[in-house]
Amino acid sequence: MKTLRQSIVMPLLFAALGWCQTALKAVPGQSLSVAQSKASVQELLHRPADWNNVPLKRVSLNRTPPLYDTDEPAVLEVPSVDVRSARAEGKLLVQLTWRDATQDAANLAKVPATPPESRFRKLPTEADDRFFDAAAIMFPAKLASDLVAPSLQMGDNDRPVEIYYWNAARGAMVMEAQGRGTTRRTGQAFAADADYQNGEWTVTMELPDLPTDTTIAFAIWNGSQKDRDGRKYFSVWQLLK
Amino acid sequence: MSKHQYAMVMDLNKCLGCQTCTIACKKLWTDRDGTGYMYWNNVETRPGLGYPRQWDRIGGGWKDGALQPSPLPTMDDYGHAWEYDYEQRLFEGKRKPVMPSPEPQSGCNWDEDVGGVNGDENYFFYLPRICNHCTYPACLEACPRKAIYKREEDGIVVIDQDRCQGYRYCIKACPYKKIYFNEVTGKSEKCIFCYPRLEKGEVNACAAQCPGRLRFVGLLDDPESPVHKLVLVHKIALPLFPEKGTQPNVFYVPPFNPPKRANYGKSILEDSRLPLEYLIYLFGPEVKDVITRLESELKKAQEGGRSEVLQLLIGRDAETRYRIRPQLVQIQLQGA
Amino acid sequence: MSNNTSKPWSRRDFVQTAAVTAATLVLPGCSRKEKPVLNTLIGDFDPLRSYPYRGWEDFYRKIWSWDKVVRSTHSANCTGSCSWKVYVRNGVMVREEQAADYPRISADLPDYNPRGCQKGGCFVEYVYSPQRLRYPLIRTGERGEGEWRRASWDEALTLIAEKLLDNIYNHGPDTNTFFSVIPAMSPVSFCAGSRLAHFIGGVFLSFYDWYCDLPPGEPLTWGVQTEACECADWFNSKYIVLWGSNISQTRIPDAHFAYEARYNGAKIVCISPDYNASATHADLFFQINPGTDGILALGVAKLLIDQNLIDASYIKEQTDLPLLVLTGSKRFLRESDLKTTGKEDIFYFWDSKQGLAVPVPGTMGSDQKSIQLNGVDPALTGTFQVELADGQSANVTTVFELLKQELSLYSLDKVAARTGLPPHEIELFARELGTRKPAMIIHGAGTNHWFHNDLINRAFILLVALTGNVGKNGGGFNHYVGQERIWPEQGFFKLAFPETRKKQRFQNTTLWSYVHSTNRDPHLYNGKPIDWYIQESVKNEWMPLWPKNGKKPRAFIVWRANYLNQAKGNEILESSLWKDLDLIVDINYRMDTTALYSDVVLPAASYYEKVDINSTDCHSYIHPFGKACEPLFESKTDWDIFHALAEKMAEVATKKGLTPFHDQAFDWNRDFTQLANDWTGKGSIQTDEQAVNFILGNAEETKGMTYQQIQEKPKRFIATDPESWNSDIEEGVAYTPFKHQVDKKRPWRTLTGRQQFYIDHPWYIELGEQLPTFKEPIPEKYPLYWNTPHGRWSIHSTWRDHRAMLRLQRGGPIVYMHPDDARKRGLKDNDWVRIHNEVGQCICRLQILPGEKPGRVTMYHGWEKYLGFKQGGWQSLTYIKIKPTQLIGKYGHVNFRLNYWGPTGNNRDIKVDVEKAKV
Repeated sequence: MKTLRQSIVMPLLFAALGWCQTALKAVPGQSLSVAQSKASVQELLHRPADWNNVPLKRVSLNRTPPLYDTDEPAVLEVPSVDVRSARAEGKLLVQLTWRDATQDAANLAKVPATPPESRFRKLPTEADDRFFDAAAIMFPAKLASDLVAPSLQMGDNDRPVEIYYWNAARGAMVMEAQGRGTTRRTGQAFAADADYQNGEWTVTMELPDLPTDTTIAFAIWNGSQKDRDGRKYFSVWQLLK
Repeated sequence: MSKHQYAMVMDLNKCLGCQTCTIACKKLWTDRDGTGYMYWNNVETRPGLGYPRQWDRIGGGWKDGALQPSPLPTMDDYGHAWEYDYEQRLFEGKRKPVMPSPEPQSGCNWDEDVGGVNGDENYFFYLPRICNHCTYPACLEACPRKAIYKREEDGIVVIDQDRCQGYRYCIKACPYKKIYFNEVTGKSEKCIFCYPRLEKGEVNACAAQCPGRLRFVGLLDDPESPVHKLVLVHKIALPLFPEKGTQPNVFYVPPFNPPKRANYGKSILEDSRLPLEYLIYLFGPEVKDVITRLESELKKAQEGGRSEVLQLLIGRDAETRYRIRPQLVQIQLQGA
Repeated sequence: MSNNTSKPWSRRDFVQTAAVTAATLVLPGCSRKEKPVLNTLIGDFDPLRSYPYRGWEDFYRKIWSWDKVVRSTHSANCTGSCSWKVYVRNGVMVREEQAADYPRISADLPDYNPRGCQKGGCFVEYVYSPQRLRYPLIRTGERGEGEWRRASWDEALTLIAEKLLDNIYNHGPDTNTFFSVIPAMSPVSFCAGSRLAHFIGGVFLSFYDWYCDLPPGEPLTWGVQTEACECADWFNSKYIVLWGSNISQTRIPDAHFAYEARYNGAKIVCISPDYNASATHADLFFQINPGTDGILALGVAKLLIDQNLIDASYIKEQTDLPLLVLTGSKRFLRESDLKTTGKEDIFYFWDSKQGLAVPVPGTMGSDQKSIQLNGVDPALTGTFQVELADGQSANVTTVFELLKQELSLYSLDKVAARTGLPPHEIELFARELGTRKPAMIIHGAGTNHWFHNDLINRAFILLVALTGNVGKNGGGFNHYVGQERIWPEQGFFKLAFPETRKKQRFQNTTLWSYVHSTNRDPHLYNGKPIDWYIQESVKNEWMPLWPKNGKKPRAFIVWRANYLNQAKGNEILESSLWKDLDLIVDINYRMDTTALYSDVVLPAASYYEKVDINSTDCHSYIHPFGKACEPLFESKTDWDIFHALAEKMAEVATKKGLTPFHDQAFDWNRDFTQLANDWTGKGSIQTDEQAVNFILGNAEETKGMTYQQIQEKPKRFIATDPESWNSDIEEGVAYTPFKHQVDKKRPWRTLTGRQQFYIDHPWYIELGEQLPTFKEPIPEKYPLYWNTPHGRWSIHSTWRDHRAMLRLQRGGPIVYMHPDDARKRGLKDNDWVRIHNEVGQCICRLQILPGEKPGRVTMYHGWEKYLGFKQGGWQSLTYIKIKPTQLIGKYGHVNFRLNYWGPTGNNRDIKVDVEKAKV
């Protein structure tokens, strides 16, 4: 049953991967250096060249198991994501680069402001079975006095998280959560830039100025693998340095 | 479990295949952005492809206590909501015939009236379908966010349009494929059993607007309701695919077709145009008993007698067919 | 947590709570041991039991909201006449729902609610659709190209007014032709134009016969246009024969009465070449060979008589079967045969008691205005001798004897072979028809659209007359094709033709279309071409032909109709009649084919933007149209449009100083400067509401009712005008016709005062049709019958281009074909195919349908030419054929009257072939 997977298997998996992370400071293997950039936020968002001097961290990705026997298997097509981060103008810019053979994106039409009954032609659903490439960065919603990281499963009641989520079709949105199944949009947008070239995504996000030692984790969704929700690639907690 | 359960009975011997129920639902609920292709209520010709295509053969539901989600149907399985370029032909002098776009290759009623062949004789019937508002909904169980719930006061199953994130496990899990994804909003939607109408004492639009008058609506546990009588007392209405395990709350009075050529007078068990095996496929082995009893009731009436269950199925007026109890089911909502 | 750890995910016991009474009931289909169990869900709530975040539910509540609701209906010629509620939100009509408030007739009869179909349920979309006409348009390209320029009302009306007046003064008033159909569906809108036609001497075309919806057997046998029971009366029947009528598709709001009658003890027989949505609900299905319904009926008549299942006393009193016929001349014995001063319309039967021929009471010439037999016992059988006026002796026999002779041709084996039906089932059918009472035939276009429809009708009526079922609740021959019944008829006539119908030019459209086009029927009838019969008919003044003196029609004004799309042989008409017309005006709310091919198009208000009333054969209520909003864009109601046109014509006449036109035919001095004044009844009928009230106030059926009153809910008629109708309205009883005759013994409206099966008009005798007989369909050279019935997805051409409807089909026109016929031609489902014959062709998609009859292909009718065809349309294969018997007149009750009698536009005898199209 899915729920048992949720309640037993998933925590076991996450625990196995990051068991030490829930109670201790992260080991050096999970540190993420943040550079100081002389460029502006706009330049960092939209000019790839401004990232040339920022070192990258190749963060390993794990794959969640399928929820159901009848789901498509969880093949590891995206083994890692390259993370670069830099501070500029009081913001933290994080750039994620990963290989993805297919670009799963769409130009979804914007819903007009007029009520549907006043229009003869409404926006159609072009496809019901496509999932889009996406990426997200998760970090604690509030600073913890101790250095205990929230649960990798979208935090928990005591340690809520913020998730800066970018979707190739739906854009960038800030989410918050206090545990699996509680994720919700805050309604807030944030600046992001995305580019797909030669089988590779590069997504740059403007995050708040997170302090050093903030735990931060990454997730990638591969649309062609029908990724969404907990069906995804995830990293263990990294520590901003 | 919910305190009460609204249920619906559909008498397939009265269905005209007119799709008025489909339009009633469509014009009320799914005439918005992203919903053009959705038919929360649809009527399909059986045997047939169904809507979406092959929904009855691809999976979903429960098996040995485990969910068996199927793959997602594609837009070709549902059929696209075709658009038409009227303006160029009628007003702009472009002289091209008005044509549907995209080019039709499939649709929700693609094989209307085709049916099956028994020997060389055609048979078919219409099967109107809505969400079954199951007692053990596979969709509810499948949602990782618990965004689908069963209303505690009346058993109607709904998808929280705020909390839904469009993961679509519910669509995969539903054995009846009665949930639809709205790609414009990024959320899944389904039949809501017209709860806004029931709350005001009005019956569902699909029932209220059915000119065949084949739908009966009421609370299963209300002994005065027609659904209670038909399902639990007369026992002549059965759910679809009971082996899927969700315990639907929509029930069907199974259909007859006339006898084959030269068989006038023969019973449905002797030689039926509509093969019993097909009814068993849809409704389970209990249908054999139900159809036999219905046949004898019909014979009784046609020979001058009076059949209580058939008199009930006549459904002379709205009071007979619907028993909506807004006061009875009303509760104080918490956390609303 | 689970105790069973053999699998990571295993069953968990389901915790039952006290409130779970529903779960303890043994529900079908899911026995207890199979019930799936749910695991405990993590988190603090179980959505199966309750949910903490229900505030979002207002999302759907808001969708079911409105700020105004208005009652209205639809005017499409569907016979539904359904009352609907239109919901408006922020000034936009968002949806409609059946009003479902027709009052009950009785506790036992199922009520009429809800009344309405899927088409009515989405009309709102038409109101705002791209096809909606918004402004007056004048064509700039060729007819049909769709190139227009927007014009002002003034310019458009002036153009029309000038042309109409020009025609009158320079060519004759009969060169202005008006075509609008079916007053019952919206009489005020109809009358708007008929009044104008009336005051300017224009020709008013027929439609009920042209559409082939008129069952000629009814005027022939009963002397009425059509009279059927209201549909609630189906519930009173114990034997319902759906014959050529697919009620599941074409009587959507009423079909339930038949299927509910079945539960109440009726048996249903469905006779149709295809297995269809009505056949599925039948007890007995006859998959009859196309065009052989007549022989089946006559074979059954023979069985009824042979097995003495006839109602002899009924037949003697209510039919002409006992009347005496001279065996030599085959004509009825008349008083004029027996006396030199004798009348032509007094007839005789043989009184068995007295042993002599006595005059039949209640005939057209009889002094006795009753058919009461008064002790006479007319013989049904026997041959007798009478002495003629010249002293000679002559043999006479009864119609019944002659009928038996005719029926002897239809042995069971012959009938079974020709119809393709099992003989023992034909016998069972005859036995049941003869013994189950009351029994009725619900008759439809499937049999009425054939060339020999008059013979088929007469044979069917014979069956229900022989068994005494006509004029009884639950019985009869009931025909609903075409919403022809305007219940408050006398009020309507006064509004439609104020100076009476005697001063109005009327024209049968079948004849008009045939004569004024290059359409020609190559067949010979009794060795003569139809043109010979036409000439005779016109010469004898049996059928009018306008314009007179070899002139051609010049102006053609169409509203509430789609003449060109629906016309048999429309491709032939397009290249001849249509071309020859000088001015074509279409008044419409959408751009249909006729509008597309017109010169001037005027935008009309839609069904939800006007005031009018609606009635139908199918029920006995009156109910209104209403305005959900004022006419949108620049549209106007039909009433206002014709009012404006009348004013414009008056203005032009005044400006040009036109002297009154003396219309010799009626000795009528037409002063067009007064036209607007005449049209408004000297100012007494200005608004559409006044027009409604005029009709209501001038009819027995609705006296005392007003438009305001009937907006509350549909009202049952209070009485019937015996001038028009043949039964009373009885409280608590469904209406069925001919109770005046059967119960009150009033004469039938026929020459013989009875249901008349013997028509002794010379042409009938020459053609061998004095009695119902069987004639084969007209021979054509191609292999497949071209079947174009009415279906569920449109009302004629309305809704054919409606997106919501198209999305529930295959998106465009389809032809249906049996798998065997398709296989022979290498055709696959959804192929583009070319349908062709000597007349023309069309290219559309194919659907393979096992229920179709091999040897026939079906395209449900009404597809607009401009949608979905790569070429042609469904009428590209047809042409107009006129039957000689339908051209007669001045025969007692058989005279031309608009929509009552005249050649019908039959179409089912057409044949085609189908091949894969090269596209």
